[in-house]
Amino acid sequence: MRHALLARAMVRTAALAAAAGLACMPPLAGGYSLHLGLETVTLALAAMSLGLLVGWGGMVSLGHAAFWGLGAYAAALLSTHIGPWPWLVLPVAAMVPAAFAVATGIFTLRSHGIFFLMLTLAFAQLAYVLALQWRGLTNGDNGISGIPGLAGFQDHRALYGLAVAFLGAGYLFLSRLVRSPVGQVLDAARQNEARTRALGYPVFTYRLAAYALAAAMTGLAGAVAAHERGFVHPRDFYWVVSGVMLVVVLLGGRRALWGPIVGASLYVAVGSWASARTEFWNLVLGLLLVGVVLWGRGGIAGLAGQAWQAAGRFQHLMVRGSNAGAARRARV
Amino acid sequence: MQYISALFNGLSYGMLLFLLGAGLSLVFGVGRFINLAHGGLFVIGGYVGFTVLNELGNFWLGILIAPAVGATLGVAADLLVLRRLHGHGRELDQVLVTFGLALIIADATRAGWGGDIRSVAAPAPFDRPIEIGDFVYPTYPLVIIGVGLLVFGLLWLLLQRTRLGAMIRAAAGDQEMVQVLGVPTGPVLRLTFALGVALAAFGGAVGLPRQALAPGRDFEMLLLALVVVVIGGLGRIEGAFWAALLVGLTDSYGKLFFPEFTVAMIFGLLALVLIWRPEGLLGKRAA
Repeated sequence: MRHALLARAMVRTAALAAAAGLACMPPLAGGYSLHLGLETVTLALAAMSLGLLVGWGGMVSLGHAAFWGLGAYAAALLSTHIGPWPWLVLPVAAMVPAAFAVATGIFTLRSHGIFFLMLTLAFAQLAYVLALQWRGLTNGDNGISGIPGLAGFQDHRALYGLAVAFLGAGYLFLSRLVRSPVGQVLDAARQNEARTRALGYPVFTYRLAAYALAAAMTGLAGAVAAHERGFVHPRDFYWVVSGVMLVVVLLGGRRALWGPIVGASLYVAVGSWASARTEFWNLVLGLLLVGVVLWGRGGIAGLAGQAWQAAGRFQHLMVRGSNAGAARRARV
Repeated sequence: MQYISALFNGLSYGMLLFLLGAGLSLVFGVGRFINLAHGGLFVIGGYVGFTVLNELGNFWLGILIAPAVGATLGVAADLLVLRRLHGHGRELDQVLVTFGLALIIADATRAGWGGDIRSVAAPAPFDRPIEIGDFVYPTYPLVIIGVGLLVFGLLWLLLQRTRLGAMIRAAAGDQEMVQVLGVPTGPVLRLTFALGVALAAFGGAVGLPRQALAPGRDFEMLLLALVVVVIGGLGRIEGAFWAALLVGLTDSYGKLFFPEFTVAMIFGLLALVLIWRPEGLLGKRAA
């Protein structure tokens, strides 16, 4: 019993230490790996918010690119036209996508499953087309370039630190949220909406709130990415962006909030490796998606869980005969 | 005059959207999943038509070969991938897999046919415009309208007057009950899928002289097809037909009056329909 607890604590600490160590690598190395690090962290932040929707809300959205793009464009426009002040840019970059989420969620959240997926896709594509065609505001297909660095975070090491802080805060916040009554209502509605509603919970409101929260987080991630690149393009709204986030969630595991972090790291690593060798990177992405859906439903988190259980069984063998093992089994 | 041109433009575009949407809708009716690779099949049909025209010099042959290629690919995808995901509660996984297939198709066509814009001239004898007094209009869009009407009629006959059609309609109504009655729903679904995909590839080849091929077209067409089936009501062929015409006309008149916001208008139409009738114009009340 004590051994099991100790082992758990040790694995946790080791994982945390490894994560912290890995997180320190990009700023130390600088250059291209800093760029990849920022890409990973922003993608992980966006995908984590999608993970909340998919894993707990049961809302499989294929329109997350709209939030990403809106955050990126809001930040780009504010920074170039008014000033690159974080206290102005970041809140607005979170609020604009959240407002979009509320406005479209009123329609899309009436539907479920495949219909929800299609409608989110349709609205995201609407945003994409507007970004392309509303040239007066967005500069159309040329995108907006020369975005100044965020004041105080011009150095990409500092920007990276900011992004990691957002990711850490997002993780802590969401992991509390899913254990809170709010998260449990979301999860209950995913499993049985009619019963949850019969218990008196306003399921639609909870879902809309989760949807807006996810949009705000994704918008922040998009804003950081926009400042890192100094450039935004309508492609930030494109469906492939939504697809990538969904792949990252599925790859990491849809029922673990740390899953998207692992998924994003793996995705960016494989991506930078593959795109240096082939221009047909979407092909790799498509194969990855097909493979994960066919053979790895739980993603990496699922695999880790299985390994964990296998280790637990092994431990049971070791302590068989003592009551501790039986007691633990009974509690689990 | 331009209003009449826009009318025919809209109708012919609508017929292309119908060819796409009909397949999407049929497959949804039987299989309860949405094939996000549908636009990719449309583009493959177009490229096959393009290649046949260039190699063999015959446009009409391309129109025949394209659906055959499409159906073959559809059956292959079904056997290799989709079949493993049949069953209750896995519809979303099927959608995700077709999204993966769509990404693969997008890059595979780019690898095969390059990223250039590919267009062909209308085949003889439809390469000359019609002139009625002052009114001059190309002939080929009228051919597309005729083909669309023909396909609509044939599909209607297939669904309403044949044994296979009865099975498709029954499977769309209540899959478990139909299975209990001894209808092999697996093969019915596979046939429907092949038919739907073949229709999409056929549309790509037929639409070739009207619409050039380029990277990104697959997704553009998929999205419009999704709009069509959602507006029309999923699983309803007649719904897809009328919705396709509506979207086609919105597009052509939108281009005439508000060229910058045409696509926004189409999505505005979608939003209006969803507010007014969430199940689509001809869809059944929420099941």
